[in-house]
Amino acid sequence: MVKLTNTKNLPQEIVRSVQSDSYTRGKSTISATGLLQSPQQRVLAKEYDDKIVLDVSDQIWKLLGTACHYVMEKANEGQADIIAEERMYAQINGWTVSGQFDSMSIKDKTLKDLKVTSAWTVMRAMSEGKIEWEQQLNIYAWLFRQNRNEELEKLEIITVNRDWSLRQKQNSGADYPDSNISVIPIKMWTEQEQKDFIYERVNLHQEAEGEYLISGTLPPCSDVERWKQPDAYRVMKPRRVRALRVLATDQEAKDYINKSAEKGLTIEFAKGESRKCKDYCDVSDFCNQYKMEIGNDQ
Amino acid sequence: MTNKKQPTYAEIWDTLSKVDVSEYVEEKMNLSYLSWSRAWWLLMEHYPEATYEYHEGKKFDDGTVEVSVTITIGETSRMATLPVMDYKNKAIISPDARQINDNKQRCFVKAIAMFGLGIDLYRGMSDDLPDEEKDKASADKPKQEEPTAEVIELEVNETDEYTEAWADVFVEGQSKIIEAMKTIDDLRGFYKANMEKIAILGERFHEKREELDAIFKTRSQELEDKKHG
Repeated sequence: MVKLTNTKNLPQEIVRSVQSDSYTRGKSTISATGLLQSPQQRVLAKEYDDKIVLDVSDQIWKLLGTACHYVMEKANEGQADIIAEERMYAQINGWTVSGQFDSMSIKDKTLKDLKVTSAWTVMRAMSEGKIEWEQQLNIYAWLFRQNRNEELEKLEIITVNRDWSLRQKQNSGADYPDSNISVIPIKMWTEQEQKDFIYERVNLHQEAEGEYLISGTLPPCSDVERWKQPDAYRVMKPRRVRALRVLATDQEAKDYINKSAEKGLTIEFAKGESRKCKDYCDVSDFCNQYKMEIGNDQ
Repeated sequence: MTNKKQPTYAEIWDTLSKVDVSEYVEEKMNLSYLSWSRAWWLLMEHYPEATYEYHEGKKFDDGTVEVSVTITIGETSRMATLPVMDYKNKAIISPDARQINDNKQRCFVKAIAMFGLGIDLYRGMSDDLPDEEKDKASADKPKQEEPTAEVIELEVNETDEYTEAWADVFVEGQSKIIEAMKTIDDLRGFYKANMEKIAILGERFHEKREELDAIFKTRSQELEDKKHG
């Protein structure tokens, strides 16, 4: 059981709301969300469940997401044109895998998931796509077919753009969301691609559990899983705090200095941080990979 | 190349018919039986090279089906057949996949028994003798029998091959093999080869899974200690 602290002394009403989080993965071993976690993160979360400490103040966006889901579920419950919040199950390699979509529009056979997120995330998802959402919805689509023996036609993410503002809209380009709600179409994979992906994820997690049991080690998280920023070489000028240039390699930085007329330029190496580990991973305190990275290996 | 001497029928019979299976016999509906996993485990203890092959089911004109399996040990083999039956030992008309599978497992145990293992369980059974009562039961049977609630419940239980008894046998069998492992790589390979069953154990019998995990950990620690002197 994860422990909650309240270091910012937030009101009791908020603390209780965070404590009442009713998320469940149903009667399953792993949920779609669990499948998408890195195996290392999932195993450590299980291993250190009773030692993980979270602060209430870090759970507020999650609380907002829960609230939005709750309202949407209640509003659409019993409506003839929508199936809301249905949990689906499948047996894969000895595990019960589950996933719960937020809604399915019966008329246009569209499965939808609600996300409460930043306008910036939405802009990036619109322009570059967001692989985690694509993976999650394709897991749901496969589970949907297994459970209902029906085909879906479309997948969509509905976003509540929590920091959207009219002023920002007026000052930004066309990429900025039109309103505080966006609908993002998600690419539907083939049935085989969906199945292969799910089986591969189950296999990864099961192998990681075995490896942890036998050797006590875990497969390291990838740069993508850690949201690793690239290392940078900062060209610095004396008595100036900000870098003149930030370059990707030492050689590029040296070349810049050689060509520059400025005197006394130096290179400062800035190691790219793993943003997820640093700010968003609940088990980074127990993670050897992260401890090594920040030079804090005990 | 070494030519390992293959056991003869007589030797196999002599070995397997002496195995005391009484402590593993389970009871269901007043019938004594040996679970397929236990039978296989006992066979593996003596003849780990044994293999099995299910044959295509034979379908009769009245819709009943016969299943068969051959067990091979070295150069010897025994085949057993069994009609797909319900719990009253009546042949089922148009059995579904699950009923066929249940009876294949029973047939599997029967084929092993033909080598001698657990043969006593079959002594006194007259399932192959003409029987007026059985004939009458077959003749009276409606072509599409609706199963009663009792039958459904029983069959659901029988369907589930992953019973508590299975978990016991599985952990016991695995622990013996794990203890015989010589390297961490062997242990790793063994885990991967059994990953699905281990996952099932974890889902259904949490405590048994913990027990098995502890066995893996202990052996792994022993091997690690040995490696480092």
